[in-house]
Amino acid sequence: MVLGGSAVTARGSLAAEVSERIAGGMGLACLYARRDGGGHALEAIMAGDGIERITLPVDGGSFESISPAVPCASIYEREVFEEFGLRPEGHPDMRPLRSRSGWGPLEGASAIPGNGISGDGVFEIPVGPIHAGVIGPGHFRFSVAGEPVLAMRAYLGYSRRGVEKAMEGPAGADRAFLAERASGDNSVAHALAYLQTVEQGSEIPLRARYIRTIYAELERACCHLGTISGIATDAALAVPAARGAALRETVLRLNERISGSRMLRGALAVGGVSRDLSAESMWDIENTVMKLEFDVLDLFKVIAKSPSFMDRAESTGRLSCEDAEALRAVGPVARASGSGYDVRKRRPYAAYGDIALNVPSCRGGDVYARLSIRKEEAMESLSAVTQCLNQMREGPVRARVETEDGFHVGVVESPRGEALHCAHISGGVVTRYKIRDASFPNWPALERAVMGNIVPDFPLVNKSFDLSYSGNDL
Amino acid sequence: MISAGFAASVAQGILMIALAPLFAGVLCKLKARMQRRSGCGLLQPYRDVAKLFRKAEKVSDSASWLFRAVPYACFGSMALLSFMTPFMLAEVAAPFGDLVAMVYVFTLYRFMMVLGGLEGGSVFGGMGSSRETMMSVLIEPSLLLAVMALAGLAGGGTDMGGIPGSLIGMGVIVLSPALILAAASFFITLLAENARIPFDNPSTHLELTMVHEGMLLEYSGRGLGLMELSSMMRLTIFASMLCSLFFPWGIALSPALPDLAAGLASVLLKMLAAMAAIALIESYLAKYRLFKLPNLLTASFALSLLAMISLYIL
Repeated sequence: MVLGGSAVTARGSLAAEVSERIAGGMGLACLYARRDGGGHALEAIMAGDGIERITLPVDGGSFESISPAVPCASIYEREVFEEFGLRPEGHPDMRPLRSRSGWGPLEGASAIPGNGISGDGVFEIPVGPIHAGVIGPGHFRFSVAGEPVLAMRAYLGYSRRGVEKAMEGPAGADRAFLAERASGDNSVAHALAYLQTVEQGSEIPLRARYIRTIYAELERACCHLGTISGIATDAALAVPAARGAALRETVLRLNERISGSRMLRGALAVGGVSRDLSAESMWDIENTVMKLEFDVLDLFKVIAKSPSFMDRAESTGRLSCEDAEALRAVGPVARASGSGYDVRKRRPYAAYGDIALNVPSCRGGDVYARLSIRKEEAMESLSAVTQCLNQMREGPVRARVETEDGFHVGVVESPRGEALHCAHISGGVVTRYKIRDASFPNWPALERAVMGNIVPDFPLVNKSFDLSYSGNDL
Repeated sequence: MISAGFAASVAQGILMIALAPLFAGVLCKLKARMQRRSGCGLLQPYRDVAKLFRKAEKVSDSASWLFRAVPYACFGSMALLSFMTPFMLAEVAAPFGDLVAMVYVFTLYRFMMVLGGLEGGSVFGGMGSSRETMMSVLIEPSLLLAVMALAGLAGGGTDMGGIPGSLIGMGVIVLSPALILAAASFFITLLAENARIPFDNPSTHLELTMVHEGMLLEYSGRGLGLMELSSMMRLTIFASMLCSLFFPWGIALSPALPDLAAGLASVLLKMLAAMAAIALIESYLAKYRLFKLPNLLTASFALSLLAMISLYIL
């Protein structure tokens, strides 16, 4: 339950320290820089059965890149370079990650490099950042030979708002409202991760922990239903798409009835939840969830029984188990490619330690695998909500907590996977706040999964990953 | 002296153009109802086209005069076909147009649209054009063969105005495998030509999957309005060929008013059935993988070939 981090200072090579822990079954959850005295320090957060923090002081403007040894560190090192100007020496791929020239991502879009693939009949298709539909802004470069995609590179950062910087300041102030907006449809998950950095393992009333779990699982069910509906939409399977959207709407309306907010904004508060669930609300949740369980199963049956859809979904956008592991993909994407990692199970928080929870996993790695994992997880979420309702007892829903100096980390399983909040507090002031949304490590996995597919299948693959632009850009 | 038949057939052509957005609206409404949505009004396509006509047109810098000419060429070719195709009355205003000419007017339309897609200079237009060309290579032979089987069944003539009369004259015997197979093949080409699911998704916002819509992406204002209107007319023409050539029962054979009224009522019913069939398919099929489409079109070709063979064997 307590998510403090044991801290180690790297002696000599950071790559060796990280590789050693990866061999021991941990994963690199985040790598970021912060100002430390006159210089900088690199922080590597390793996640496994516990959380470990490795600090590497950086003198001067560069450090030795660990990407050649640890491929999943690549994006983090590019981020460090763009945010702090610290150059990772020996980094194999220094394409821009978020910034183009300076901090205005729109001013220098021409700075995006080509994919560097040439040959007879090989073309490069630039797509976005403005798209025909109402989706997040992202620029994609496809190298194609006819319809098959040779390579795809994603360039994001168009919805960067500087959330991490805004999270800095006096440690006592409640910034849950800000954390909720890191990624709009994962607001409970991010608020929960933020609250973990504030509450720092102090005792939260049991009832509040159950209510938090209910909110988090309703959010997950809602998010997965939206994705299932979206996958059906992108395959032009109109009727199941409409039904999926209607089911998502059912959850959103339930959210509004029980908390006052469709996206459960402001439902969590420091030390507990902002308001207790009334008996009527609990009855309402139980009824709605019971009905939803049938509807979700029915919806999935309709989708999976459509031969034309299955033909589109099976074997499309395959992410191999090896790639998923090497890139340390997280969440449903990784669990559809053989991973069994789920924060709720590995390091239970809120009330997850008290309820029975299955973590579905399969090795298919294609669009269909991700779709069925999402359906399984939605069902698990609904069951978790019911369990919480049955086990909850009357009691207080809020407690006073004290925030202390030091390093504090909050890790939750957001609907898209493991999300991380790291707070460095000194003298009662948050000096560095790092948010790592689940989408961040999954975007490179998408680049992998698209290779070898045909261009018109990309939207379907993209939707099955369902990554957040705002969570990535922050 | 203008004959009553000619006057009625001109009126029929105008009616087809005027009703085209209504049929698109009916299709849209049926699809919405099947998804348990209330959907927009039946007249929405009229409002959409009227709105587009009022809007300013923005033309890509890389486009030549051809870009502006394409919508008029497309609209013109579809307007011509409206006067060549029987709707409620067997007689047509443009009797020089036969089935073969019809197939190539469609080809002209597609050719102009492909050029328009390339002219805009955007990636999506180019991708749409290349996909459309790939599909048209496969659509054309099966369309041609299907209508040839129909002409053979009706007694050899390729004159569209003559076919309903001779089919009705043959009585029940005309419901032969040849007609059914040719109609089935024609229905598949109808879906392909009109960019319906499973060939293309007319309501998609995903640029990367677009075929027909991709070619229209660079159009705006009046140009887009004309292109949209032409698409609706194309759907109406195809559907009315299915209703009035393959299943002509109920069509008016003489321009007398009671006959015309009965013909109109029957063709509207048949069109409604055709739209319902399309809506049903669009609701229960996913869009096929791009490289699976040739299989479906090959099936359509095989059906029309079988129709042709059964015509001479049975």
